[in-house]
Amino acid sequence: MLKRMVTVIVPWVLASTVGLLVLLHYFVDIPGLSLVFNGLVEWATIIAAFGLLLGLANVARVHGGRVIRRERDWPYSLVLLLSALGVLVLGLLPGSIGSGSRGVQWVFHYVLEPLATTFFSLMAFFLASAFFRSLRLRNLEAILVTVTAVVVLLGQVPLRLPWPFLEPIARFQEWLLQVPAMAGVRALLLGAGLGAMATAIRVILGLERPYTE
Amino acid sequence: MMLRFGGATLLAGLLLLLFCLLFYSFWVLWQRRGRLADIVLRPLRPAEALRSLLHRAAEMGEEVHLSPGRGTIHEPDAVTETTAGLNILQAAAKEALEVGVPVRATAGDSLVGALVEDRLERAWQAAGRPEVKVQGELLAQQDRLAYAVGAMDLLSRPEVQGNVMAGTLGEELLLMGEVGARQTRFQVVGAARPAAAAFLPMVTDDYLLGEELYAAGAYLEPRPERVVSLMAQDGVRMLLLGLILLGTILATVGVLEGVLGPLFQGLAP
Repeated sequence: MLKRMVTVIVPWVLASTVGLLVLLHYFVDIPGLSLVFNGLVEWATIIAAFGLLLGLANVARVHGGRVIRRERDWPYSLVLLLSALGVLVLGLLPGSIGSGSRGVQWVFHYVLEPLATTFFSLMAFFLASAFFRSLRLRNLEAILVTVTAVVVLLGQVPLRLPWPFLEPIARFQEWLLQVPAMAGVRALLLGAGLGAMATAIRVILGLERPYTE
Repeated sequence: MMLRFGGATLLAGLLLLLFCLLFYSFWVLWQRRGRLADIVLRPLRPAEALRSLLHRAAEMGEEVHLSPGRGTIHEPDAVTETTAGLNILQAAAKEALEVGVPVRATAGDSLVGALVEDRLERAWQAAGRPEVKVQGELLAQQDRLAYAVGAMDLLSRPEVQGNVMAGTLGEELLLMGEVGARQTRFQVVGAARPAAAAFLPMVTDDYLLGEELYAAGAYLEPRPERVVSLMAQDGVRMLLLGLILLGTILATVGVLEGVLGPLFQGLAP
């Protein structure tokens, strides 16, 4: 009974009350409620920070175990642990101001950002690969997506000035973006918004409890 | 105390009210008639395909990767997608474990990682197959690049032959989905963001697009509250569809601006 109280009833009451308060704040402006709402947002930030610590502990446990047991690809786990430790030390050094310190910023600007840019630039090749596979499989939807992407790219390149024959393509891509693509995005967002609303209502009413048993 | 009823808030309030009304009505109908869902629910092919794909994986003795995406649970723009993804993950994990398919689940956020572990535990208990292997793994901390790299590596392993990835996914879906398409035997992918929508048909035939992501939970694990909620959601959607059609006709004949336009503009906060 006590276990059920702690793991089910208390989290359910807390989550439903907070959810209803936040929903009420969206429709009704009560001065006192604004203070409560701001406090709740701060709490969420603090809990998320604890989540970060939880994540760090989890990574250390999983990858530390892999290194100790010399599991497959253990050197990568070692690199991960050393990198995490390195960035942590840089942020905790005497005189450091945490994530804004020069060392941490250097890591972000000269290691993480170039890595991210390089990796996401691979998307063009992945797109080409996906397109050729779709052609082989005669997947009509995928072919339409790729042909549209090519038309939009051609319509946006600055080659239009020396090559006037690209002008109709540019006009066509404008129409594509403003009419069918916009309609599709709106339909997608509308449907997803309704789904999100239904999920949120179930969570607020306690019918769906992602946070507990 | 002041009501904020104006513009978009008014519309959101009306939709919310309508949804709650339909939800309550369908709930009462459900209590009275029982198997209402069998009559009303529309077919959702990827959710139905998932079962047969998992059965095939069981015959081959393969492992399946499950993921609710790289989203968080504490940020407003990702919480519902991640919750929907977790529902799909739990149902797929239970289904896989019941037929003896080992499960490997990943997350891109530490809090979601804890929830994934919890969902796997529930699925494992419900399936009643203690000998089947279950593993949860945190691949990154709110970094879509790191998550995509980790998932791509995992999907390229020979023992992983199925991929069920539904939840918070953006354009990085193409990277993971393409590796999944090349390296695994089957994959079911679901996303609600426009950035990912275009890539879905390129990586698999079995995809959940937009609101299907939220609907799939009701098909995979048809609890009354989920089915009734889906029916209410469909009811609101049909009404919106009718309103949009009516609005288009009224706007075409030039009536809309004089009637509804001032209502929304005048009440805007």
